[in-house]
Order: sequence, then C-alpha cells, then structure tokens
Amino acid sequence: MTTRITPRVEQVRVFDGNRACAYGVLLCKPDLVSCVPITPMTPMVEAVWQYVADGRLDAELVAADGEINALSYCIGASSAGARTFIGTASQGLGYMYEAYLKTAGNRLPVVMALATRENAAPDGVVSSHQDFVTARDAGWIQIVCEGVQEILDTMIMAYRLAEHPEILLPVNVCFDGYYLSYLTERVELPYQEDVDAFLAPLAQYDRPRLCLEDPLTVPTNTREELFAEWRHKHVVAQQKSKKKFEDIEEEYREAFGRSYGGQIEEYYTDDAEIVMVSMGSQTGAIKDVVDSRREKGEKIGAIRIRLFRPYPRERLLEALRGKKAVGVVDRNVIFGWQSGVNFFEIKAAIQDLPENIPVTGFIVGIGGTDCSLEMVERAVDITKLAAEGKPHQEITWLNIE
Amino acid sequence: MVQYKSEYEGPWASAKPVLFAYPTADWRAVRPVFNTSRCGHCGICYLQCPVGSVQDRGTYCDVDLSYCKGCGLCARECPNEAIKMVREENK
Repeated sequence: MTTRITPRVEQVRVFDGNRACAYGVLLCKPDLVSCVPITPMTPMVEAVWQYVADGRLDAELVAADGEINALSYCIGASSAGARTFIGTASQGLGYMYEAYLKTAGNRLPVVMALATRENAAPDGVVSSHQDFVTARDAGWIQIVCEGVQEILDTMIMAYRLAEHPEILLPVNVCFDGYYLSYLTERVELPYQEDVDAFLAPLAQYDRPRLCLEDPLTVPTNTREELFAEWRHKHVVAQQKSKKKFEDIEEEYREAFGRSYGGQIEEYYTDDAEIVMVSMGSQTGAIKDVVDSRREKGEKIGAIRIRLFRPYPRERLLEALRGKKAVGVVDRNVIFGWQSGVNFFEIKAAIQDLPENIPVTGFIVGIGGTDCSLEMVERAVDITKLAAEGKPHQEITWLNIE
Repeated sequence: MVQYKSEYEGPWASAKPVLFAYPTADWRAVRPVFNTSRCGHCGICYLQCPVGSVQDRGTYCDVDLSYCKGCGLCARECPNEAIKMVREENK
C-alpha cells in the first residue's frame, strides 16, 4: 500500500531539539509514553505530558520509578501490540540496560529518543556520544541526527522502520544533548493527516502479541539451537534495516520533501581525495571547513554517519573507494583501543578495499567541549599529512593537545 | 546454509497447547505422590507450587508431572500429610 502525499507545511516554528522530538511523538500517536526526566531531555518529557494534559495526545502516561521500570513498561505494552515511546539520556540509559537488551532480543518495536550525554564517571552533565555508543552492541537500531528538523523527521521514520514486520526492532533516535536538545532552529511542521497517511501502511501488519484469545510466551526460555536461530534472525533483521531505512527515507522525501542521504550523508565526496567522517551535530563544523577548503581548491569531502547501528559498511566502502586518506572525528572513545568508535569501525570496514587507505582519528567534543573550526582545520591538516604519506599522529585529542 | 525451525521471527511461541518452557521434569529426583483420599481440598499445595503443577480436580488436588521439579514444597506444606515424595528410579 502506498499513499500519495504532496509535500506541504502546516506551520513553521522555532523549536529546540527536545520540542521537535516531542512534536514528533505527538504526530506518531503512541499508545503509551513512559519517561523518567533526565537532563538534557527533561523539557521533552514535559512537552509530551503537556500534550496529553491538553487533550492533544491520547496516550497512557507512566511515571515510572526509575529508568529500568520505565523501559519495562514499554516492553509490556509493546508485547501487547501497543505503540510506545520512551526518552532518556546517559545514566538513565545505563540504569535501563538490562531492559534495553530485552527490548531488542524480544524484537519489540519501541522507539526511544536519546538526548546524548556523557557517561559518568567523571560526573559531568555534559554533551557527548558516549552513552549510546557504549550500548551499541545491544541489538537496537541507532540513528544519529545532525539538526533539529531532522529529529522531528527521524521520529516519524523511526516508527515506520521499527514496526515493519521484516524488521521488528527497537530504534534509538539519538541527538546531541545540549547542542541539539537545547538549540533552537527553524522547523517545518507536517500536517497530522499526512503523518497519519505515512504511518498508515503499518496498520496492515499483524505482529504476534500478548492476548487472552491466543496466548503467547514472550520471551521463551530458550537454549541451544533455537537460541542461535533467534539470534541469527535478529542479526539478519538488523542488516535488512539498512535498505529498509533508505526505502522509508525515500518515501518520506516524496511525501514531505526532506531527506538526509539514508545511512550516510555524503558531502562533496565524489571527487574528494580526503574525506572527514563524523556523526551528529559536530558535522556542521566539518562541513564549514570543507566549504572553505574547497574555495581554496582542495579536494576534500565529508561523510556523516546517520545509521550507526547497523553500521553502514557497504555505503562507506562505496564512498571511500579510491580516497587518499580518511579522517575520523569522534565524540566518544572506545575503551581498549585508545581511539573513537568510528575510527575503529572504519579501520575494520576499509580492510575490504584494495587501496590500504590511511585513517587518522580525532577525539573532540567529549565532556561537553567544543568542536571549533580551528580544531577541524588541524584535523584536516593531519589527515593531509597521512594522504601524502608523511609522518603523522594516528589519534589526536583535539581539545587537549 | 542456515535452517530455521521456528515459524516466529522472535523468541515467541504459542502457549497452546502447552507453555513453551524448559522440560523441567528432567530435573526431578523425587516426585510427589498424592493420596487423594486424604486430600481436604484446602488448596495450599495449589497455591504454593512454584511452577503451577498442582491441578485442581474439583473436590481434590493432584499433580501434573510435566514440569514438576520435585521440590517437595507441596508435601511439606500439606496439613493432611496427603503428599509423599518418592524417589525417581535411576536418580
């Protein structure tokens, strides 16, 4: 079933990321919302609850006594067939980790917004990507946004992706805490009936759910071969979600007139010799540097990883083929490797390319530090050294060296 | 070539005709034997059984051994001493 929607805008507003996310929740009409407020996403919870108080959103609200219970409410409701929403950050995600694993393993299409924040300790209520990258191997789909409009759009696409019968996986919509959650931007709001029409195809799918008429065991207590089978199905569904995500985004572009490049956003990569790879809001600074360097005639491009889990390996290989060097700018660390997560994963992915492309890694923006244009300039200069085969530092912590 | 056995995409199973669970009867070293003529139908064993193996037969209780682990709670709690734990052969 395809619905023809002509792109149109109900109104243009100035929203911060939390408000844009809450508005996305409103448009998707979840049956149950379960959140424990935590900085930097508290205003999002307040906005969603206000929508319910004002009678604009007909959802069951749960004021759970802790994040693990908050997500467990979503597990129960989603098992019974409800559409659910939850938001959290940092320590909240840590506290719900056991339920986080179960949501994915049970194949429940819960959508969770994450205003990303640094993990304690050191204690710091500050921006970072550390919270969701730490939970990257839990089996969720994780999408990372760059701007406020994209948060609203991704919320709507997230439900389409999560509830598709070939996917049936929970989706994290991640956006930088502070930089996006509190940053105001121009946001175009779609019409409710257009979003209804966009989500309408989901109504035809009937997934197994808990009910009295046809009792179901969720989850089964499983071991040995059957356990391996369901793990395999989970991994396969995650891989399928890459293509499905791009299909949904293409449909979204036709209906609402906006898209973000699918699994990765490519910025002047076609003729680039050097490509800077990044994730989230800091990509804006990198794009600015790409623009200024291009004016000087340097062949440089940028890639923004949008779909972080599953990792967009094939798209990255396609985009990085034949490049002279890749610089990876991470707002996180991978413990055990003295680098960022994307540095590590891109190193692994491009082993499949014949060219032996040098990769340089940069840690920036952790602990709420800035990712300034000067820092990106330095990162590009170091990556150019790598492209020319000159001695260079492999990992650079831009904020402290 | 990967081969699937379950029709379900996730770790779900129909609870008809029987709950999908470990065959915990394997674990049993002793089994409860109900003397139904001594049973007062008080229901204490029915309530106490951790795995729901005790069956209410209307005027008395007895046990469905499919998942009974032989823990002996029913025998210990029965006020009429109507339940005895008997050793399973070869255990």
